[in-house]
Amino acid sequence: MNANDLYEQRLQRFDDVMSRRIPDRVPIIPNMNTWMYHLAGVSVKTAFTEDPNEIFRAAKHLNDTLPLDGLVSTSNTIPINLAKKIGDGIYTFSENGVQIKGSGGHLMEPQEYPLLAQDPMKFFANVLIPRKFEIFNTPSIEKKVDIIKQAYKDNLEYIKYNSGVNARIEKELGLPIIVRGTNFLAPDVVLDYLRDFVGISLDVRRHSDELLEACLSLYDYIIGMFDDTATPPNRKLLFSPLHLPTYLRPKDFQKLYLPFMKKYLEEMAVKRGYSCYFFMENDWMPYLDLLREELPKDAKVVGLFEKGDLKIIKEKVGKEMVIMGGMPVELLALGTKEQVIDKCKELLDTLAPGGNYIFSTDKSMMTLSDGTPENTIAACEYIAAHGQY
Amino acid sequence: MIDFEKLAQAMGELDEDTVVELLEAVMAEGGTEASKAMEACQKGMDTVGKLFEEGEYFVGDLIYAGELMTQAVVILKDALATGDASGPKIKMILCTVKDDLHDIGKNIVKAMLEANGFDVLDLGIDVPAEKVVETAKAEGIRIVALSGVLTLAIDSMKATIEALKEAGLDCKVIIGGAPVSEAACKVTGADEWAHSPQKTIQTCKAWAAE
Repeated sequence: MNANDLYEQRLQRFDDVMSRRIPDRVPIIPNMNTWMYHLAGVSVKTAFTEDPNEIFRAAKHLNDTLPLDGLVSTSNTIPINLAKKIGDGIYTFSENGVQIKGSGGHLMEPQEYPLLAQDPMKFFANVLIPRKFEIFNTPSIEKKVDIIKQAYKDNLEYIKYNSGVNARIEKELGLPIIVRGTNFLAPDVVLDYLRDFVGISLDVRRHSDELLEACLSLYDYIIGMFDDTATPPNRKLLFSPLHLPTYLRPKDFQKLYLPFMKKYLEEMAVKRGYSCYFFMENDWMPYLDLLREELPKDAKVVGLFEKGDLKIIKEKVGKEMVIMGGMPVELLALGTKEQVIDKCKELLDTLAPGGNYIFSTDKSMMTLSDGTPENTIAACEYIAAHGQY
Repeated sequence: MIDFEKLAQAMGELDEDTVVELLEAVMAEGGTEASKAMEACQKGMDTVGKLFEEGEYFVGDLIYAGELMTQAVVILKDALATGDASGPKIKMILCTVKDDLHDIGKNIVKAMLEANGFDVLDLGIDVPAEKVVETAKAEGIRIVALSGVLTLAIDSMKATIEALKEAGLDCKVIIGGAPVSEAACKVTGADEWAHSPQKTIQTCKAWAAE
């Protein structure tokens, strides 16, 4: 099959599941992150910052080694040059990929929620950005404009660096890269960048109304930034990592987070026709009934579940979400080949019937110690051979 | 006369206003019953732990409970300074292992351990095995808690535990964070593992009592 036909076949298989049709077989989209670079013996640093051909080489090696229907992304997700120049300093680069250094997310106090609620853009531009990035603490408007111009330029270069190689991977290998953009839900912006873990946990108890008001404004601001004309809907995914929910009591989740999942899906998936992808961090078992009650039915949204019983999850929220995941990286790393095959059989028996399931790993694979090549290849080959409908 | 049952209950229910009100009343009466108040708060914390295990409370609630406990110590501090009934604190090591830069989980566990009376030596993030060994030796440490979020933290945990053993140090080690499990516990040679701060605290308390 030529690369173009292969691309169509793979993306169609994926889109069939997203559209609640039964595909020809279970799609295989493992969360292979920087694992694929290590598999190919490619330096992550070189691939991400010096030579995009090295990204291609890693993707080609993966594509030649095991059966799969798409890459979640190439994992080069942070414009590191831009971040370095404006002096963020929380991104650290190594052969294992990019990590965010520690809890750098405490930037504002709860007393400031009303200011955030009143006008998020003004509050970000005039208060938070100068507070976070010292480089903007200059009286010279010209200098600030220059910094922003340079940042814009660095970002364009980063986009160019990646879009070129991404296009090559799709065209020459017929391998779809399925995530095309990322939107954060408002409470996660507050958690990750504004109040940090401890801060938001206290705010949930002490300032929940102010937190909610601020998140409502922030939500509108985020959706307002999303440009439909630049990113029209297609068969690929808009990604959102859901971070805060499972640290909340269901009662607090219902008040402070669920409304944003619902609003987001109603707007992006139902109204505008996008396919959405939620990383369901941690264990969602206590929240499934709420999801079933509140989320729109049959919208194009897939959830990658990190923990919990996927069979029950599918039974409970299969109408609201396509289910993705199932293969523990720990088993790929520490189990025997037989154990891995047994797990694949179990996944096909319990999750594949009736469609609505995408085979993947429960966590991102960063290095070869997250899954031996032998086990990982065996898992993908088993699903490819036995996952037919 | 302060109602210590009510204080324990308020702490268990994470009712901040009542907790603060009662603790301030203890201090207004001269602080002679500060130790009793502390005991009531600990009892309330046990309830918090129980409710967490039963799935009533979540990690966010544990963080909030830790904050309330810290607040309680601040209010009672002057009265507790002399003759603290709880005795000398147990010193222990806590850190995020080499190659892992995450510290949110570690910081939550730290606050909770301190609220439970431990003297926590926080060695920070990306901590090499040698640093843990050095500190354990110098401080006579018996309990070590190793944190990590990335799957590759398992390798560093293993290396740290091996280094402690090679140095002949008789430490109990607990590993915690997203990638740990029973299997990871075996691979690394750790004595225990935990996903929740609650289990970490219980385990360390049990070891401290040995």
